[in-house]
Amino acid sequence: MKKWLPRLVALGVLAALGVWGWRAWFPDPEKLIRRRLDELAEAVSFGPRDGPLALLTNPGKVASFCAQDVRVNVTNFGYSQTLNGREDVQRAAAMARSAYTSLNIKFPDILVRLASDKQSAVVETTLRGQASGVRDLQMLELRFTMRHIDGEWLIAAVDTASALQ
Amino acid sequence: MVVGGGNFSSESGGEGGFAARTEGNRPDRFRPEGRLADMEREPETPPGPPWWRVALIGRRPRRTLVRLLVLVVLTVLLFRFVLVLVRIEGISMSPTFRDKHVGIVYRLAYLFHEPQRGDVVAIRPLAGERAGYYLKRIVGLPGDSIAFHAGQLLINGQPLDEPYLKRSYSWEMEPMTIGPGSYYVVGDNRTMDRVDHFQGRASRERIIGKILL
Repeated sequence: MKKWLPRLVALGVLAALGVWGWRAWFPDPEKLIRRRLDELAEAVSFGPRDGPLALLTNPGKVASFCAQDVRVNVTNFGYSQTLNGREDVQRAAAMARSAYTSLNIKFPDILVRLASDKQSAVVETTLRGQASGVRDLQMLELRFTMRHIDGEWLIAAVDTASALQ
Repeated sequence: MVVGGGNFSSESGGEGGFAARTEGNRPDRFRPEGRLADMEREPETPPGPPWWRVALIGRRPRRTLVRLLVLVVLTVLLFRFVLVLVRIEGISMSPTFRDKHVGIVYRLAYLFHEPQRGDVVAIRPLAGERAGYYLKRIVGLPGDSIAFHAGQLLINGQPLDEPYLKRSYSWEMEPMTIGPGSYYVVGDNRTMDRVDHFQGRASRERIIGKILL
């Protein structure tokens, strides 16, 4: 075996470790935003077996994904909902918990458009939701505006988007 | 005292004890035809693989493996680039396609021509295809003026014959001109209020194919 081969292998391993470490310490903003939305979906979802503690704390957790001045304007099938500020979001999350016994939310598609300064982003996504007592799966296209505030990606605005104009 | 082999040998007719044994470790006298028959008998064919193995992987496993690989690749290509299995959720295309109906969308339908009026098409959402598609019927083509008046769809001011509608409806919508590269799509179930019915203009690049069945 050539002498340089083990060195080359070691160098390759070191390079791979370096790339992995770099990505772990300095993750790509797009990846962070995707992860953030997945966490949001998890926080919004709840099951019939969730305890009273979760019932109290989760609406607050949902609100923690939003900026203080968050604005939500969602229109679907003639029904319109506007929320202004974290408190409104928290209240809406609590109301959803009292209206349904379970809710399962997912964002299967997430399309991130990062601003050139990498401090804000527009995210288009399709929400798929299934609530208890509602037979059909709900599909809703949403546009999130996200801002990088104090090292965290927070939701600044949510609007309805649609492939059909 | 009777000792195993010696005793056996003497009983076999005294032809040299153990040396007289056959391949199967049996003395000749137990064989019906003896050594002559041995010479005349055709050589035995090796036993074939068990039936279950033949049923599972065939007589030529290597060929079966190649066939399987080709089949898998073709299936993946077919369902990635040509056909899409869809399950309809909701009643907006009823009665043509009912809730939970499973259909097939043909992706190559518009490879050589543009979508036609009356086609039922799958429309890709803004963010991607994993969440699903909208399934709607094309009623308006690029450049058309479209309106609903007194339960009638008007294209460029003329009522459109829609044999797929089974119930009357009472939608009202002011004339709207469809821009280039866009198609107006709507469901077949118009018994609900217009605001409750998801419809509108879809750009050409969002139409991924036509439903086959």
